[in-house]
This record gives sequence, structure tokens and C-alpha cells, in this order.
Amino acid sequence: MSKIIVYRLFDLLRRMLSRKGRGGVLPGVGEFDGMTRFRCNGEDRQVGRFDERLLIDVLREDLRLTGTKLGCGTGDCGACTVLLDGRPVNSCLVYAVECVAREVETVERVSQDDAGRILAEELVAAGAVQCGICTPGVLVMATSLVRSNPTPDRADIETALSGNLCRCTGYLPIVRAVEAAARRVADQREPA
Amino acid sequence: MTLLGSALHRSDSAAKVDGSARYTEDFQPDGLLHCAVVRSPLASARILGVDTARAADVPGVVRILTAADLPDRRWGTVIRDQPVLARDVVRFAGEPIALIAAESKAAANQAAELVELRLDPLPASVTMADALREDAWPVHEGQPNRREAARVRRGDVDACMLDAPFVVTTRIESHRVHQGYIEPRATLAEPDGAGGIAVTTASQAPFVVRQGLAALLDLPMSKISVRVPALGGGFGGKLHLGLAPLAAVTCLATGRPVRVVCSRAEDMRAGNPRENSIVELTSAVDRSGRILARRAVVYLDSGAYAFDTPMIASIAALMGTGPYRVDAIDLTAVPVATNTCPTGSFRGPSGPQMVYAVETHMNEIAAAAGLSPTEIRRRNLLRSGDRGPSGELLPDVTMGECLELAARRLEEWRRDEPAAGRGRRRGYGLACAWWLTSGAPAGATVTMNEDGTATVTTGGTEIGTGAVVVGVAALVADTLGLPLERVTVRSGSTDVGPYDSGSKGSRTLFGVGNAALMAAEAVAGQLRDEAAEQLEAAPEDLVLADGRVSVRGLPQASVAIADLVVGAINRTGPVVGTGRFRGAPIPLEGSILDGMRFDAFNEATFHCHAAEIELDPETGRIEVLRYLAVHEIGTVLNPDGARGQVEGGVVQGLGYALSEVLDVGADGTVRNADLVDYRLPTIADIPRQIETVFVAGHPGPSGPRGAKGIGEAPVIIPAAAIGAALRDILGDQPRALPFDPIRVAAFLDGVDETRQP
Repeated sequence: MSKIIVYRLFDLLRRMLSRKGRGGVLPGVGEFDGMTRFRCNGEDRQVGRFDERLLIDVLREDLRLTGTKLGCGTGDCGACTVLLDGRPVNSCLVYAVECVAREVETVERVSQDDAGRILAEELVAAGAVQCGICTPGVLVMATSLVRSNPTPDRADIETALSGNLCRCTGYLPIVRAVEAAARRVADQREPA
Repeated sequence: MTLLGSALHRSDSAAKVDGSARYTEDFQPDGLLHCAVVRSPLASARILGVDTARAADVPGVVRILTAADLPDRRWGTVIRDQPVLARDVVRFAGEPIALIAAESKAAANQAAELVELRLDPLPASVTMADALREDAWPVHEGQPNRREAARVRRGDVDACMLDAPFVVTTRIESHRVHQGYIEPRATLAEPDGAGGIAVTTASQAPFVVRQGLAALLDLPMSKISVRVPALGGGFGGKLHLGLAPLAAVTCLATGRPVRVVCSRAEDMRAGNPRENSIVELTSAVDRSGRILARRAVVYLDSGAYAFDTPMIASIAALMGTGPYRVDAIDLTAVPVATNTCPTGSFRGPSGPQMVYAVETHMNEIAAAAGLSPTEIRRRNLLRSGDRGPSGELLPDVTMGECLELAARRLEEWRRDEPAAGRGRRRGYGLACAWWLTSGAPAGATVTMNEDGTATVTTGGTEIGTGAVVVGVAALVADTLGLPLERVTVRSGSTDVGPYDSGSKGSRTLFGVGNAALMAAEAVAGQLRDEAAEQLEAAPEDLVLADGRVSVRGLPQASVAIADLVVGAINRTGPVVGTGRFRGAPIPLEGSILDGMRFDAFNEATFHCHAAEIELDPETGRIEVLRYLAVHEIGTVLNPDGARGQVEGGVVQGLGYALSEVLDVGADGTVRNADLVDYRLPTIADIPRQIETVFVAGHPGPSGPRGAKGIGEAPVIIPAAAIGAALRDILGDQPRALPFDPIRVAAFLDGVDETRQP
């Protein structure tokens, strides 16, 4: 609750500062009226005004994007990982208003993109999906890794995914899937 | 049999990967109320009052319930001792006292904080030592904290102890751990529009939930439906009623859909973790290292309510010998009530601590007898034709085969040991265990559709292992000669399929598979009858393969199954079969059983794990380098799925061994109710290599196509294997779990001191 007040003050400050130079228009936002608007999976979405909710709740409840899973609510399990401006974040730690004028991508979208689709296939093929509750977060995080590092070694995979808890598989199939997907993504990039 | 035993596609994976699979919390019916639970902050207290006035004023709050609003009925798995909401007294920190139903999660949570609990602290029995004292605070008034023991006896243990050349005693203390499923417990209860309720819940046992709710709510079972959508792990933590009573009473009180979801902290404070325990083993041993007699006394911390600890005590008693032949035994396991969160099943209940205790004990016997750890095991292993502790005949024991495989690998690792750098020390250890395959009841139907696809229905739940969605489907497809993708299993609902006892006891593929096989064979018979008519052949000459029924030796004389189904519908009726299964009673001979609620391994499975570890003596940190898991589980029907059970189970077992502790403070509260301080293994904590070997050639006689269970065994052995590897380095191993760096460093200090002159 106190965090939301800080954000409101922060936004107010930004508006005042921006007025000085830019005539009341926030860079990339326009006149900020407290309305939470952001791009989600390629579409402009608008949720509540001065919405105090977390991104995960807005995604799941308002946008019905329930692929993003709530495992802990404290940023420790990674099941709620989404991409915010292309970078992985725990959506249980991000307020919806922090996403104003930014781009959110959830598993529903990420799993359809090139690298994400390949990762989805490899996760299935490697037997990395058991109960599946951690899988969307793993997919989003691993896609982010493969996009930024086309040739991850095991240490890179461990570093990237150490915040994504899986209780079923023992992780080895996830490692195998990410290695296989990275190879395929790299092959696609390099003209044969 | 080309399908079974091959790589099988898992049909539910794609939806889980792209986020379209729906779990309990993903359902959002119109008019949904969110329910917050007000829980006791104290481990033991009298409830003087619950003031809900301020909470009721929060906008959006619809209803607040306390024990005063509910009839005084109790629930429980074995003993009905737990109220839905604490009445008069609270017995553990985290016990539900009040429920708030509100239009939003935020309103419910805000109101929950405004409920004023007037609690008068009472004395508490927090530890088992407290609870077992003569003047102990009784967790339940008028009842002893020491609960009914489970006991197995055979032969004259006392006489053996007196006469034996060696008597070896081992005492192990084990810790409390949480199942750590990533999907927190959740339940949605809705009015079904016909005077009953429809419950959607994250459960491993929907029929158990229905039965419990019917008794609690005084409703006929036919008015309650329970369905389990995609389930985000359970590992025993979702076998009980869980949140269903809370959601159901609130739904009935408001007439609206109500959802209760545990926060991670609530789940860790008030789930049903694996019990901490004390295991005391004494053995009489002859000069050749043969064990003549074994006495075991096991104390299991049951927490404030019984849950299934009485059942677990029976398993603990049975596990007192390990996979070794001991002719004189006195094995006792005692549930102990304490003012802590009730404990209950966790994958391989009582297994990890019993295997650790027995295997540590074996290592000590080996030391006393001057034998190697492998040799002491060889000399004592159960063999085919022996009887288990309860007097169950064991026709096919493969423990020796598993042991020799692991022992050979361990020697290979030892030989190619490179220098361990930076003062680190390498160690090699192995551990043996056997485990059960529960014969609990199951039912299934198989229906042929007009397009030649088959639908299997069962009340069995797909917990995530693939046992239902792959294993059961493959058994049916194989029997009907259908490609796997033409068989769909609908499972996990009391309304969709017949009774099932739940995803537990390593029995889902075994039990549901047997029931589905029976149903599929009935369907195959009906298809043969119809084909016999159409092909003018004898039914026994017909084979089902590739979606067709053909005359043996005359492949051109064949008809598509789809045509047979349509033909049968028009001629004799729809093609549908039902199957039911319950493991046959196991004859027991020669042992005296008291208080045993579980008395046979049924289809026993045999297992040996080997570990290569590196110990950093400076920090006490243990790194597992290589790990081998050898399992004999009958015929392996779904190799990828079985290997997934082993790899995942090993890592869970390593978490138990190395990092996980649910830390209960002196005041009875959980001090690490989050996933930072409760250290589940991460991807960076696992061995570089986990090799899985299945010993072939030993089909389980009563299993579906020879299959036995694999769900639980992999998790019960790693602590014992790591302990043996530590002993390999240090000449001794800890008597308390886990081996986290702090405890290992303290143990190292002790080892050093005893070695000082």
C-alpha cells in the first residue's frame, strides 16, 4: 500500500518535471491521467484508474491471461515471469502502474514467437513438463536467455534459471531443453 | 507390445507450456467471492473472543464466519479430530479461526487484518520431548500425546540381544520438511444450481474430498461434485481435505462461488509437512555380520491433529528392517501429538528418515563387524522367498542385483577420481531401500467413440507424473490396437469417472492402470464380437492393431475399429467397458501385528542409489558430483515418465538431505515460511549427472502388464546415499538431518575433537 503512494508521488513528480520541458506530456505516455494503459502481447490495454494492483493480478483477473502463475507472491519462484520491455520480471513484484506506456509480453505470446515456440517444443520433447505450474515462467525466462545469448553454456542456463523453481523434474530435462532450443535458434539465425 | 516401453508423447504438455492449461486458481466464475483465512498466531491458546465488527465494516466484505456459525463437526483422514474453524482452543500456530468472504482479494485481506482475536495463551507441547514428558501439556484435553502405536513383532528379540556377539545401537533425528509444490493449495466452491455444491480443488484425491465434505456438511455425496483440473504438484501435501471445508462452508453460507487460495506463507505454516522424527534402532549381530534381531522405536511428530500419521506410523514400522532379512523383530512407531502444524504424507511417507536410519545403522554394523558397507548388505539382504517384517511372502527380490550394479559403478568412480581441488575431499557412498506399491482401489471406464477414438474416464488424478495422461492412455491404446493419440483420458472428477483412492502410494499407474486395462479388455471383447460377425471369423482369431481388427494370418480380412463401433451401436449397443481394481489381500504369516493400518508392501520394489560427493571441510558444503539411481519397478511401461520420476525424486531427496528444513521455533511458529529461507533446490544446485537404471526382467505379477510403482522410492534414498559418502570421507556420519553447511561444519568439529588424542 505504501509502495503505491510512492509511485503516485513519483508519477506526480514526473508530470511536474515533464511539464517544465514538454508541456505536460510524459515521454512516451502523453498526458498522464492516472489510467493504467500498457501494451500487452501486442495490443493496447487499459485497466483501472490509479489501479493499485500488481501486474500479475491485472493480467490474470482483467485480461484473463492465466498462463502467468502465482507460486509465491514474493519473487522467489519465478512462476509469474513475464517480459517487460523485453526483460524478464516477476509480475508479482511489479505494480500495474509501473507498466504504463511499456510493453508486457506473457507466456501466451512468448510461446508463439520464434524462439519461444522452439523452446516450447523442446520443453515438451525433453520431458521438462510434469505438473506444469512452473513451466510458463521457465519458458519466458529461457526465451529471454536464448534471445540475448544464442550460445548459452550450462553455467549461463543455471544463472538465468536459478530463480525459477521446479519441484517435479529435478531440472535436468529443463537444461536439456534449453540447450537444444538454443542450438535450433542459433541454426536459424545463421544462414546455412 | 510395441507402444508400451517406448518413448510416449505426453498429450497435456503443450497446453501447460503455452499457459492454456487451467489450474484451480485460473477459474473465475461470475460473482466470485474471495476468502481470506484468519489464523492463530499462537501455538496453544484459549479463544476468549473473536471481534469481527471492524472487519465487517470494510467495503466489499460479504460474510464473516467463526466456529460459532458452524455445527461442531470434525474432519480427519484416519481420526476425525480437526474442526473446520478452531472452537474454544487453538492447537497450532496457523490454525484457522475465522473466514472473511469479500468481493475482492484486497478487501478480504484487509478485513482479515482487522479481526481482533482475543486469545489467552495456554501452555504448549511444542517438541516431541515436551510432549512425551510425564507432566506434558495435553494437545487434546484428556488424551495422551503419545498416540496409539503401530507395532510388528516376530521371534524373541530379547534373547537374541542377550546372546549376540555384538549389539549395535543407532539414534537418528530427522527434520520437518515441506512438499514445496509450486502451486499453492486452492479451492473453489460453487452452488451447483441444484441444491448441491461443485468443488474445484487442487487435490490428489477428489473422492476423499467428497467423502470428507459430505460428512462435514451433512450432505449426500450425490449432492457434491469434486473436480481436479490441472494440478500443480502435490507430493502428498494435497491428499487431505485441505481448504475444501473452508470454501464449502463459506459457499453454503453465502450462496455464491467462493475461492480460497493459500498464500505461500500460509501454505508453509499450515500445510501438512513431512513429520520430524526420532528413530532408535538396536540390532543383535553375529560374528559373520548377520543381523539376528532388530528393535526399532520410531517417534513421529504428528502435530496438533492426526491427519494420516497413524497410517504413516505403520509404514515406518514396516520400514524398520530395511530390505534386509531379520528373523527376530520388534518394530514400533508412535505418533506424538504436539502443538505444531499437523504433519502428514509427503512422497514416500516416513521413507527418507527410515532409510537414513536403517542405512546408517547398517554402516555402523559393518564397522563393528569389520566389513565393508557393501559386504554387510550382501550378507543380510532379503532374498526371493523370504518374508517381509509383517510376514508377507516376497517371491521375487531383486535387491542384490540393484546393489551390485551400484557398487560396481561406485568403484569405477572411485578409480577415475581426479584430485579434488582446494582442500576438498571426495567421498563415495551407496544406500539400499525397498518400497511399496499400494493396492488401493481404482475404477475406470473405456468408451469407444463412433470415429474409432477411445475415451477413458477415471476418478484417478493426474498429479503431473504422466501416470494417467500417458501411462493409462498407453495401456488402453496398446490393448485396443490404437495409436496413442486416439485415446483420451478424462480424469480427476467425482462426476466423470468411477471411484479412485487418490494419487498416492506409488499406485496411480498400478491401480488405475489395472482398472483401465480391465475396461479395455472388455471393450476389446465387444469389438472382437462385432468383427467376428462382420468378418465371419471366430473372435479368438482376431487381432486388434493399427486401428483395425483383422483375422490372424489374413491381414486383408480386416475392418476399421470406427466401423465396428458404428456397427455395434446399431446391432448390439454401444461399445463400453468398465474396470475395477483392488489389490488382493496379502496373506501374512509368522508376525504379530498391533495397530497396523497398513501391513504389506504389496508389489515391493527395490532400489539402490550411489553418490559421488565433494566436501569442503572449510565451509561444510557438500556438492553432489555424480549420482546413480538403480530401480527395479517391474516392467517399465513409460520409460521417459519413469525416468522423470527418478530424476525429480532424486533432486527432491537431495533437497531433503542438503538444504530443506521447515524451522519450527520454540514458540511453535514456523520461522521460514517463504521460499528464500526454505531452501528448495534450484537449477544451480543439482548434480552434473543423474544416471537412471531400471533393472529389467522382473514383471510385477499383479501389475498392469507387469508394472509396479515408482512415484515415491527415488525420494527416500538420497539422504542415506549422501550420508554414506560422508562416512567414506570422515569415518563417521551425522546422526541428525539435514546436512546443510552449518550442521555439517558442526559435525566436522565433533569428528575432529574425537580424533584428538
